[in-house]
Amino acid sequence: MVGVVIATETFKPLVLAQAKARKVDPHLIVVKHPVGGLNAEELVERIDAAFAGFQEEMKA
Amino acid sequence: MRIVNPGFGLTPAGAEQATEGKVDWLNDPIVLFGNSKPNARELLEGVKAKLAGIRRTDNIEFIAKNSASQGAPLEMINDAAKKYRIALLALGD
Amino acid sequence: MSDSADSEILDIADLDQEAWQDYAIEQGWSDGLPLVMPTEASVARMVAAAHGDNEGFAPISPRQVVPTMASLAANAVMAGAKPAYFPTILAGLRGILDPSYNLHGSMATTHSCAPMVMINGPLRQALGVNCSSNCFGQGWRANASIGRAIQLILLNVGGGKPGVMDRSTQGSPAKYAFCFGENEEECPWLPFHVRRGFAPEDSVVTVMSGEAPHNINDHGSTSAEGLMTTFAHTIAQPGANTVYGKGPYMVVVGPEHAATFHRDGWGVDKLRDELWLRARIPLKHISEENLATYAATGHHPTGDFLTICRGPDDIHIAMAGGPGKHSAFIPSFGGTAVVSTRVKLPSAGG
Repeated sequence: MVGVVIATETFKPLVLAQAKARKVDPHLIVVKHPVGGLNAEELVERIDAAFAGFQEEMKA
Repeated sequence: MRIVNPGFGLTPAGAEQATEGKVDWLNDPIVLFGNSKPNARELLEGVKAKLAGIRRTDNIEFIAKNSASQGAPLEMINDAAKKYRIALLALGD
Repeated sequence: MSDSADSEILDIADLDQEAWQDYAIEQGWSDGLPLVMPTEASVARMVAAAHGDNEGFAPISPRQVVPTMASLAANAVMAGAKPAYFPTILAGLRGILDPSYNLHGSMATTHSCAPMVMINGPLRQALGVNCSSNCFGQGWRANASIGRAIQLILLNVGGGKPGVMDRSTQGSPAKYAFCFGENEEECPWLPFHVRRGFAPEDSVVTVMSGEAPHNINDHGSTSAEGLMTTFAHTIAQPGANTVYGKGPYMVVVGPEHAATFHRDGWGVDKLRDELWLRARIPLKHISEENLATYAATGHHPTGDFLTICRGPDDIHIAMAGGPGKHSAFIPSFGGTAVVSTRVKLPSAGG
């Protein structure tokens, strides 16, 4: 199974450190922080960024 | 002078590098794994909607752990691992 | 197993006190306060205080490495603990490493939780743990250094560096040290650890991933019923994590409030039952957006209210403090448990 993780830039260091502790090399998509608390219009930018990141993973 | 390293620790036995197989990004089933944080589901469903333009989406499904503060139950992870080939996870806030 | 971080013994340049502090802070070992140097001799004295404790430790999150007795002792030395405190520190750590405590979640969360450490049993007196006036505050070496040692272990062995692996939005003063003892001598009820199945002569450390204490001031109520009104409405907070991340909470009743409850015939079970029924948040105090979010994750109202725990068993009552009309509410992180661990006293020959 391939796991792709969407994390905000604020949580990127935590995700990377966690991955290192668990000896995994994460497929990481970083979007702007925050995700919570955004209204539907504001969330569109995060969805676009996450989708673009996923497309990059598909090509890799 | 000699001191004891307060950060010293041992790597647990069995903590081996995980491996992942090849996947078919256009056809393999995908699980959208939410962390129960606000907007996690909306974010993942938004990505699914956009994926409809480039791959099949009838085998993309959303699940979520039932608590933002606790890890997903092992059974849920194992079931997802059996059923899907790709996991898209939302982490953080 | 293999070493994951340098070596257990570090050979460093000779440092005076000031240079040592600078060095230790550069290494990221400090909570911001000066540290005692963990020399081999001081660490050996600490380890000797746990002689006979051969039980292993689980990996410590988030770094996921297994500590050695020496690396744990080094943190206890740095915290300023006496060797006699070490078995208590180890018991607290074992509680934190119990899976139900959810250390990983409580370290990675944006919530302000810290390990609350409560000590019961005869060791409180032997170690000089403050259980009375200002028990949550400053001034007692045992309280300060036992709580601090546990925090330093999570920082240095666990890797919970603030802003990196410890993602708390605002943190809390409780993250320096949060350790107190139950005031068993003035408690009208059975001691907390005895109610949890331990013997009175056992010394027990109870931990919970909690917020710093919230004060409950009630100088006016003269009855259990009156006090309960204040307690319940102080505890029913819409900003509590446990509104949606249901979990336990502690109520640390001050001795004068406890005496009033006791005089009116209220025991611990009655307190818990009444808090369960009354410490509920009216829906009108919760935003529409939050209600929708909670519902989406399966947290639905009970009638016109939201509860902040799952039932009376989630409500833990202890008694601590000195004279005065104050008690405390300690909310938890939510996805955690209250874990009690008996202290293993050193065997002869150590």
